[in-house]
Amino acid sequence: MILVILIFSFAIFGMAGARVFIGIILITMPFFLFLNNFDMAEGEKYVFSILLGVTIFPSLTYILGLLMSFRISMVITLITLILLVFVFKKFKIR
Amino acid sequence: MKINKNYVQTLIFVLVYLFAIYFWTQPLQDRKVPYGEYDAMSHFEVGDYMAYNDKSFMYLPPYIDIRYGNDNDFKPHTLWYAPTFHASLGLMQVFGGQRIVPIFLMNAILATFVIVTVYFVIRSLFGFLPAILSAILIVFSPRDFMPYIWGQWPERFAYAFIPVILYCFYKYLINYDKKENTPIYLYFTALFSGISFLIHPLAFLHVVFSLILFYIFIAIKNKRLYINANHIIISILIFLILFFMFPYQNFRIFPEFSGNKEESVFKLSLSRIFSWSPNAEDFIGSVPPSYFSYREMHGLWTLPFLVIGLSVLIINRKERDLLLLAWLIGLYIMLHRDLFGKAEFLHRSLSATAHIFSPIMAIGAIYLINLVKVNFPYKKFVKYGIALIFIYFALSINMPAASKILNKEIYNPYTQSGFFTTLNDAEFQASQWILDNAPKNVNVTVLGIPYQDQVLSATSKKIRWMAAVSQHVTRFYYFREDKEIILKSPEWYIMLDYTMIGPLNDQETFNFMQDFEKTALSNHTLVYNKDNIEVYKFEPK
Repeated sequence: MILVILIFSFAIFGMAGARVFIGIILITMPFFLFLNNFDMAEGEKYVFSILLGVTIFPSLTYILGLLMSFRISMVITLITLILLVFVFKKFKIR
Repeated sequence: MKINKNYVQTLIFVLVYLFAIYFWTQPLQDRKVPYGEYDAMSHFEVGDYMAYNDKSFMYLPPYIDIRYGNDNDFKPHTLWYAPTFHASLGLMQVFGGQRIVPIFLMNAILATFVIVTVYFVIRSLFGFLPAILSAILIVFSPRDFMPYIWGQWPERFAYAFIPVILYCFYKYLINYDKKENTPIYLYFTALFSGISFLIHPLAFLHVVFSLILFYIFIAIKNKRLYINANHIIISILIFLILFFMFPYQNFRIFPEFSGNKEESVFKLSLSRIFSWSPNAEDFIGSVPPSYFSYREMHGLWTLPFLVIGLSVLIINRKERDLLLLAWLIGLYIMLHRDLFGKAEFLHRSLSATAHIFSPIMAIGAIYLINLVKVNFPYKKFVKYGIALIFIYFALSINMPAASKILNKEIYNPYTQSGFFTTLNDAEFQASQWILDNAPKNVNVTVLGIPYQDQVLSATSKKIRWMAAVSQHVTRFYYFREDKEIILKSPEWYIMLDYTMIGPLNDQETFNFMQDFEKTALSNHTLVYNKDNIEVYKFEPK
């Protein structure tokens, strides 16, 4: 499925389209990993994590971006969210 | 080999959704230049500024402030919406590695995301067929893509949250007494409500009415109340955390909604109660009359399905039916708030119609056969047959009608559609050159773009797009009262745009500009000269 979307994005919008699709996956991933800890339907996990990814992630990046480079704040937000997911997972298992 | 049914259904939906992206991005595909009305410029500007300058901002840069500096009543000269939506556009510009395509593509993805959420909710509650039929109808819904083209970008995305918020609240209530009851769905209700508020407060107001109505319906149906103080307190906290993330923007709603800006415009009458749409005549000049017409927005063929679907919901009255009814009535209340003296953005609420009408129409089509109380062996095939007829009508009536409004030619600067409004390649490159080469404090004034009364409303958009792309204040030269000062100021660049004069065969303006170059710009230096656009800066020799 991912391949179908990637090919479509590249075919219609070129490299920028493919990179946007990969970008959406990247900012969505921490939330999907987080929701994976809960007993939820697959569809819920996908839809909810996309909605959270394209909203919460940019909001945090914007706030950090007031203090530092927007690009660096993107990286820090991504790493922080992924770390938080692993901390949550560890905490939940215990 | 056994084919996974879920996988096939998801694949079908993904193909429909990709077609929606293709269909909605047609103006972008052949020409990679920005397009749209005034609102589109503002949203592009905010997201683009963050990514291009690699920083967030609290106070608006001058070229945005000049128009939007006072739009935030609570904290003037700051963003008038929470930056959530715009930061997502900025993120995609960074990921995409280009300025225009990533922002416009991301906006199309967000604007069409309501197709995903409606499909997801209707599939979860009613099954695949009603869900896919709903999705197909929304792809061709002019009330969705017209505001998207006009530039009401955040609002389009905010409406995608309504089905999800209602679904989460539904899941919380129907599982309330069950063993597997989990408050997480109430927390998601609060979380998504808060996010929808950050994207566009109007969508949040829409969903509040529907949530209250659904609660009342379920409470009456089950003859009990659902109150868990802990769940409610945590949910309120989640909402408040989101609200206080961007206080300057979110507190703006209070002065905004306490005002009485538009009420006097509308003639209130009891007949409004019996009409779904506001009166088209109240919006002449800003919204086309077709926008208020059921026939032109949905196609008359959908009306019987809408009536049948509504009847099915009222007759069945299961929890899922009550959810859709609450959604519908909530929207009805929002659409008739002019009766309570709140008429602002009324036509914008109308743009949420297809999101609930389409599922009801689809349910009407699929459950039509269930109204026949006789069992016969081919009932299932008849259901599929009706679904195929439904798709046939959508593709043969709604799609061609949609294509007349949304196609590859709209906003084409080389045809009549976009000649006066959209930047042509030369103008785009000149604007980009200014961004890359002019100091931040420099403003630009332009000659050559028509400014006469009959075209001014269109060409003003071109000037604004120049400002958006160049990230510099850009104004018509002709309207300046400080022409003498401008011509002696190093803080003003003079742009001579000859690109429109040829196609218009405007010899008089051409002669004037040639003369202007020789006389008024004798103390200026030509710093850009490409494709019939020249840029001068003041540099006394």
